Amino acid sequence: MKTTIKERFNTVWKKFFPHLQKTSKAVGKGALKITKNTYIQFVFMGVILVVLQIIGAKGLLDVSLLRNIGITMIFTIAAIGLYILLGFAGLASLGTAGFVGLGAYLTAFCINNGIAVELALLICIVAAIVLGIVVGFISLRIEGMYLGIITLGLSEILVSLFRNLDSITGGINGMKINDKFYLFKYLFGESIRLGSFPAGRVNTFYVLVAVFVLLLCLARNITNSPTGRAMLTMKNSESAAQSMGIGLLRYRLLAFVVATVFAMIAGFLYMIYMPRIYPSDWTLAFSLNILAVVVVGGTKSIWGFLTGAFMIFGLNNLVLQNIPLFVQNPTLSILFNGALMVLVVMFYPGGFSQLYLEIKYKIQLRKMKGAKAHAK
Amino acid sequence: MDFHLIFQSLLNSFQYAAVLSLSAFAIILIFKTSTTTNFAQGTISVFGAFLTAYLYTNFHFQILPALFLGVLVSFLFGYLVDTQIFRRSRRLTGIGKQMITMGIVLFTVGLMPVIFGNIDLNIAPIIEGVTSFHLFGIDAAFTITNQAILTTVLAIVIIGGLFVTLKFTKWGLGVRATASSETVAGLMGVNTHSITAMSWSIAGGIGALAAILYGPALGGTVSPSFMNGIQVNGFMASVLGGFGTFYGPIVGSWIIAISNNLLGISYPGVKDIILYVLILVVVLIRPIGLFGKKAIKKV
Repeated sequence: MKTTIKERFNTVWKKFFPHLQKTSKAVGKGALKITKNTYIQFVFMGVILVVLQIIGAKGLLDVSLLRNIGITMIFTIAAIGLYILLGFAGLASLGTAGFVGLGAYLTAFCINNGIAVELALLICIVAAIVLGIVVGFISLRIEGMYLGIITLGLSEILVSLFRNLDSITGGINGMKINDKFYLFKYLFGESIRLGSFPAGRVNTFYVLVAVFVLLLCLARNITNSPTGRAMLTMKNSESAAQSMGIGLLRYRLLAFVVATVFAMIAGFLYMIYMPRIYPSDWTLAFSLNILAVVVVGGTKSIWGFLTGAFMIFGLNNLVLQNIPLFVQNPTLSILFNGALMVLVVMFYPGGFSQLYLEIKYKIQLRKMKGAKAHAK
Repeated sequence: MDFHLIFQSLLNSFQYAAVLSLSAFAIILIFKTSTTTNFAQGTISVFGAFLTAYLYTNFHFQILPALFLGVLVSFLFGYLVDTQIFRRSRRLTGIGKQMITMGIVLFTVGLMPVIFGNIDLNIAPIIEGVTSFHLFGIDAAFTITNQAILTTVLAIVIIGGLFVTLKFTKWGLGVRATASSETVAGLMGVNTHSITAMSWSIAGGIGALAAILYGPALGGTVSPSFMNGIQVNGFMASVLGGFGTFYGPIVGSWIIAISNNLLGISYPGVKDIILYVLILVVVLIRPIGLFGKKAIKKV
């Protein structure tokens, strides 16, 4: 009787290691399963970030380091929107800069006019939904690289609005939140101050972490649901998707709404964290950086994506700025980022996700081989 | 409205239109042969302009030899980008290729201060002076800088020459064949490698020429981002004219430049917004652009 290697392996495995199988099952129900749950991993990451800030508040960590972590988180939130839009729905957008900017300006406008912070966030989300629907309708008519350039045009329109509506946005001098502002003012009074340095910045960091973890979970939910699968089908073949009963209108609108909502939430957070912005912050380079996160990070695994975000935004600010060579030549780090991006895209088209999955696969293979060797 | 004002605005838009059309032609050439929108177009051009300004400011070169060296460097830069990077990444998706050009942007922006230092580098116009003339029996004189006349003439000659080349030479036939299908062109014996390499080089060269000629009008000081506005408008021109044909983007850039200046008469603050909204509306009505050809989509 012929048996394949896999069958033989399975019989050997069962014969010699009954205890291992039992334990793996038993552990699977308990501790191991918890660490393998992605949501719990996200929360764990959030806890680490909060601990970092607690240490930082005691003066043990550099202030600029924490600031950079915060900004990296904000930009990553904008990138999560594009992660769904590009990685799952297959629609390219270069308008992220404009949308994030709009969120920031809208927030500043609301708070300066005496609207509570939470309400400002709500207004941002509603505006984002409207904007997303508009762009989604445009995307039904224009496709591919055209869509990228048209969204770039939209972004340019928004930026020139920021630059020219002097009376509201302050023109090229930028806009800032004038008064102190507080989280949940109606519940806790003026106890949780947000915004500027140093008292507010710590609180804002906690808000950032909370929103970041929440949005990561939300993104994970979307991508692992029937909606995510429908979007993926649409990306791979529109005709196939339509013949399976997936409406392009619905999912394109949804993808764009998700992307703009994430972008404008990022803008909101940027505003309450900084709290000063300029029209020159929202250029094509910003949108391209966000796009680079998705491409360098890849879309097959959310951890690969997060590594990409760290590579694009974090590496430069957190690591390279501490090396003397890079401190003397600040532009070398941009050069390094560019070279990294070209190399990753050339040799690892799947991005860091691919690398991550390959490593995971190799570890599993080695485990199996180890078990086999042990059996002999 | 004043007739003098309108005609003067037209004259003012010539140089911008010429530079924009050179940029747009470079973009469409690369789009056709490598199927990607080249975000590095502006930066590769600026690299050449930086060299020119470096030689002119620090070594007191005449502007003309410096210009030739600058254009040559961008030409070689484009060649290197294609042979070293794009030749090895043909199988990537459109977005992946765009990302590579984006990486080149960052790389070059980081590289330029390292090579050329952080001091201000200047570019002088090739011809100084202003020409003024009377027309249509109007008392007020029309003025145009000599540099603008030179830029316009050069752009028309170069783009005209390239169109003739595209239409009547073997290389042009190769480009058109590669544009319609790279694989089939390769099977038919077209050397697609040299075609794309030449396209990238030419794109780099004319980009640098545009940057150096337009440098004085942008204030004369070179910075890594000083072609960004031109580049964004170059993309807009390509979308407006349509990526389908070679002449579409050229017409698009003249439309953009002229309407930009004419809108500037009445609405100086918001001319960009009006222009972009108009382009958006046109593209929504005609997604393939004004002069685009409809691509047949196979399932």
